[in-house]
Amino acid sequence: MSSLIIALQHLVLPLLTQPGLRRLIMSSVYFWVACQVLHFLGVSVLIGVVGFFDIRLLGGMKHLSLSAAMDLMPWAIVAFLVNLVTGTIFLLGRPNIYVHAISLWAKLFFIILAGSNAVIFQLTLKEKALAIGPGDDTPISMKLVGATSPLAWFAVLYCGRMVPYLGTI
Amino acid sequence: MEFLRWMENISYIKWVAESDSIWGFPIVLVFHTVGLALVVGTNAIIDLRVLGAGRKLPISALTKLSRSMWIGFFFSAASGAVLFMMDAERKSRQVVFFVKLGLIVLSFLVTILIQRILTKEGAVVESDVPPWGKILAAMSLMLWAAVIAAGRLMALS
Repeated sequence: MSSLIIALQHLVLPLLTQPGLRRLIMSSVYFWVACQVLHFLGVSVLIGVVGFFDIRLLGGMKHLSLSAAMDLMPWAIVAFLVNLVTGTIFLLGRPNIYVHAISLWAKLFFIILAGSNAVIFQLTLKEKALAIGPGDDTPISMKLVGATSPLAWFAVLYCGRMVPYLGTI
Repeated sequence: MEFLRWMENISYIKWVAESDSIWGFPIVLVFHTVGLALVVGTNAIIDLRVLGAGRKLPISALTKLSRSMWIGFFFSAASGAVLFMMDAERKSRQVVFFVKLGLIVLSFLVTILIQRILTKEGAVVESDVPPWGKILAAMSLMLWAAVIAAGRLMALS
């Protein structure tokens, strides 16, 4: 595992080392704070919207159809994209620190986990999902997706918050 | 001030401030962020829907989300109290901290007002929501963004 990460670091660090961009990003502490605010808002909207849908997948809020519970999803995608952009800005601002933070590699793993979970749902369960109406229970497959999702996203949040504390590689 | 110094010297608080363990300060921060995500995330769903997004979601569903907001509020308030107490003398002199508290109070007031509108006469679709409900929803999003900004600015000084 650590040799994989070290190999990826050698790949990624040159790409993220952009002195001109770095100077621009770091030139204003208020810009950095603004990016942090957007990043925190993004994770909140994402966890709110996705978590809401996950509760329905797990069988809560049965008075709603699954498609109703899913209808705000485009905003979770917007929130994710906002975080992708602001996250990249952070990486470009302090590449040497962040590329060596163990926590961020763990965070990347959980983002891929959460994303794959969502993609698998879209590819294999979307049809069945549209048929789940108010009062209907959800099959085990959807409950599994609904359980993995919040665990993965809260792990993403945890790893993000722990960046200064989990050491370097 | 003696009371503030007393807070800083409570044994748990002192341990959190001085320990290197990830179960100290880092976990307190994690709880604060999880609470934030729950409160702001739940409010975001309500505000986005009131503003017209996700129209398949009945407005009535938005009145049943208080549990996640309360859980989030508890996590953030409890962890926030610990964070304050660790550095009480300095934080009690930070203007931006009091601004943050004021913004939180305002945000919750706006949330309560929005809930009042939504529970009135069983609103179902958003044509049932009066225009000033939408203004409140927009204000709510901006107020929570301002709370987050105040928090980030606290971490700066």
